[in-house]
Amino acid sequence: MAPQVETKVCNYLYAIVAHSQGCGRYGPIGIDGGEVYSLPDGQLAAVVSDVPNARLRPVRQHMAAHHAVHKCLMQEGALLPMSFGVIAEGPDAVRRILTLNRDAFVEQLRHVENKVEMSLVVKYDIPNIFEYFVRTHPELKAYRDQLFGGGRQPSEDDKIELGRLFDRILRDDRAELTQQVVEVLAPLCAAIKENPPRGESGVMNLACLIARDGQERFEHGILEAAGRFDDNFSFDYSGPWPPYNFVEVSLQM
Amino acid sequence: MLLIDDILLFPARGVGWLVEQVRHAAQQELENESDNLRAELGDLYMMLETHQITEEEFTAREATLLDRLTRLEEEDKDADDEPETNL
Repeated sequence: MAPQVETKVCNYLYAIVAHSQGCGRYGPIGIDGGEVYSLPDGQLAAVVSDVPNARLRPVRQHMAAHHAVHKCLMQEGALLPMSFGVIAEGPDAVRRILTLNRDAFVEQLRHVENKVEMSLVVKYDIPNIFEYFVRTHPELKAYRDQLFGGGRQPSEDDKIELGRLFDRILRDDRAELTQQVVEVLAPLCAAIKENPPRGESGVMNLACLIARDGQERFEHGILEAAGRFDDNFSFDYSGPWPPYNFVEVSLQM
Repeated sequence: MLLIDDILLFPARGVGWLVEQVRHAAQQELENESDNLRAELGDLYMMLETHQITEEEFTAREATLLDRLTRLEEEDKDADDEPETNL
């Protein structure tokens, strides 16, 4: 097969914004230091930079540039952040994407207008989570003592059964604790998305869509929610971020 | 997968065509997987940026995903380099 020579300039897509927004030029902050600019089409504009290939390696430096552009755009207003690695073959292809997806883009932009995303990660802040659960759940302690009591060597099946019980209790607790926090935060948010907690010590991983000017109220809400928990939990909130968790567009291309 | 249906529907098209289809399907699967890996890395970095995961969690997972992607790209390259078989 003869090697194909790619000479066409491609456009890397960072985000979709409203055409009325911003200056249209954002400086050399793109991937590989590329000039970031907007390609308008009707009421929408795609924020892009030129890249030589239709494929981009997801190395950290590129992903950092992708997010740096989002941060810059966020200063100006609402954006629909693209996921990493969407590349169109030239400005015409970009306009085609805008045209084909216009209704979805406009609707999603309206949905996130004047809003930002905050993230809240709650974890168990304890050295041994199994020990903590045995201590706080008599049901689990009783079962463990029954299996391991008097120097007995439990069978594989017994151990699996114990693991299952632990897992069930962990899940139930997470759900209940998440509910407690969501109750406090819900009135302060336009939307809350519960992402799966990370690792065994993770309790909850919430993305919250809040009003741009509602950050102070939201922080008070976090403090209030955290006040209902003891020292065995850590609360880590951060933001404002672009609405990564609240934009759902499957691109028509 | 498209392959099975195509073969059932067009048994008379000959072996050469079939080989082309197999190559095509294999290529497509490869591309899908590398697209998935790219997407997963992108999501992972977003989680790092928004403090949903720690630097350590990111680095560990990133290494695995990048390794898989590199291996795929090498397989892809090897496949391209192979001379075409005439049947």
